[in-house]
Amino acid sequence: MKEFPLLRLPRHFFVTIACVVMVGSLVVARASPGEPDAGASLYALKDVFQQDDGAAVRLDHWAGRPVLMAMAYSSCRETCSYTMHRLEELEKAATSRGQPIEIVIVSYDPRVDDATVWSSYRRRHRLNDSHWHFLVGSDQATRAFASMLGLRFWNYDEHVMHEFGITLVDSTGHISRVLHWTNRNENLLAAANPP
Amino acid sequence: MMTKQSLYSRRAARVQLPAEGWRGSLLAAAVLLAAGFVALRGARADVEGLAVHGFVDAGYTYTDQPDPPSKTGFRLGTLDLYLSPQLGDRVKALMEVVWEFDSWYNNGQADTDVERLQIGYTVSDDLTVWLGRFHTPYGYYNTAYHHGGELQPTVLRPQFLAFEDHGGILPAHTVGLWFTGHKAEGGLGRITYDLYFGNGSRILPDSSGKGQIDMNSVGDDNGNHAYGGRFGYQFSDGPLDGLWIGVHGLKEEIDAYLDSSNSNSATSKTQLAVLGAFEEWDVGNWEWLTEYYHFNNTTLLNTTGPSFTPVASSADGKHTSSAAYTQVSYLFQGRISPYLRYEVTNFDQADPYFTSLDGGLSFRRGLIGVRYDVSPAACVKLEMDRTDAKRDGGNWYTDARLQLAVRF
Repeated sequence: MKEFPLLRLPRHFFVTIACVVMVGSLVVARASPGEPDAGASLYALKDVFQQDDGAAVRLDHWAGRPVLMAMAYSSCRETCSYTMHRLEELEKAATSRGQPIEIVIVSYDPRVDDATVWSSYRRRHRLNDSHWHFLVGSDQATRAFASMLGLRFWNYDEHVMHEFGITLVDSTGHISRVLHWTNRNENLLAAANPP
Repeated sequence: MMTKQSLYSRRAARVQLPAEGWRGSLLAAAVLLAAGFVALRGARADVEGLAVHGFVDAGYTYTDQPDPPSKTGFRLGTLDLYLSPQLGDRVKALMEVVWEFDSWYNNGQADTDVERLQIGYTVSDDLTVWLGRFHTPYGYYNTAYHHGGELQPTVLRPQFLAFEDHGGILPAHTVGLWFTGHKAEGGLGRITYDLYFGNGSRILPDSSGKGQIDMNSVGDDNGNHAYGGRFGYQFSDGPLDGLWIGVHGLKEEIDAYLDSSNSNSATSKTQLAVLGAFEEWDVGNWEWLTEYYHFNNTTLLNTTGPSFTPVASSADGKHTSSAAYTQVSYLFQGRISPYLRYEVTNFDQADPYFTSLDGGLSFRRGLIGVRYDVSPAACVKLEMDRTDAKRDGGNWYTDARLQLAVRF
């Protein structure tokens, strides 16, 4: 068989060249880590979300009270599980202080997490209290919400890769304080208005 | 008579892979170059660009196997890079390239594999069609967990569901068409379905002569296509809330080419027929997985000896085998997940399909481990297993593994 001169080069040559090109591309293309939009009110987002009981709702439904907001998806057993764990801890802290708090979780994965799936998730995780709210929106609404909270996410097949973040939103829909991974153990509710 | 040592010590002739290494490298290079240019274009056109993400893992392995795929010591795992662009409302793609190291008996050479290269079209909320190389939709594990170590709940996959180049005995990848979707059933749950049609696989010797499945990425060697499907139901209410159960089947004709002196001539032909069932039950912090596979293979050609002389198959050439595992895990504080797995296989050693394959020996394995999520993008896993492969001439042996895995 005739051999092309190019193919006499070591086989890893091609991969090495390709890696250099790709890594260089990444340096150029990579977006900076997400930051929450501190200036805008989340309640300016007019997209309609669906709750796990099937009701349609907009975020300004929770105007006038402090709200913990986060994102998760139902089949995640990693970061989302820790997010729920921290939310439960924060809920207990709020209860012990007699501080009313609402908890709103928006799905990262509207392909799967319809109202039925969220409802099942709520039951299986025993998050039945009425101040827990599981929402799902359109692709566009999901991305807009994540952008305002500064949460980056992307799909990897049926998985959604994402960051950890819990955001305290004040009564006007502005971000009061954010828990990232680095300050995950802080008492977020110290920034909330006392009852 | 050849002495069998472990699951991985196979008797295949010492032959070399066809000189296709550079083709794989070229293909990987082409994919990476395309990815790079796409990323660069994206960067110019859009602030976010098209990010390349991936996984890396490394660790330490202890083993007392006499002929192990990896010896005791520090171990590099995989470097996995992928892109998953959404190209408009309906078209999407997934490209995944993995660098990993061969087993010890293949001299630990670095290999590059284009593990997945698939382009999808979303017909509706209930149906997506993929074309390309995808993970064959059988059972639960093969489509739930892919190549990234950080995503896997354990260090080791169930051995019989390992990828083809890690001693797997099923075609984990298929090149062809895949129809997948789900349909909601009121508020009770939903039906899931997958149908696929693609190139049938073949068995080729690796660089040490051990047989491994190749998924015929550039055309079918014998013109007998693979086809199969998976149907399931996910409960969203009632006492079975959180349970996904299903059945699946796969059929294809697989030829083995293990004769170094005549690599174009099949040394065995098998009609592979697999039926199976699975369940995945996510009950809050508990998760329980079980999969069962029943093989009803038909030998169409068998050979024996170093000259691969054809021999008549016994009776009608039928061989039945089976494989199963069950795994349970519990999640503490959203970050700590201990797990247990028991795995058992019963491979007919008169079936040339299994005797051609590295990893084709029957075994039983118990595995225990724990996963700790250090951060949303990093985890550490520690696990130990005890394997009994004595039934088919192997050994008892113990492995322990520590793995640090990250994603980015």
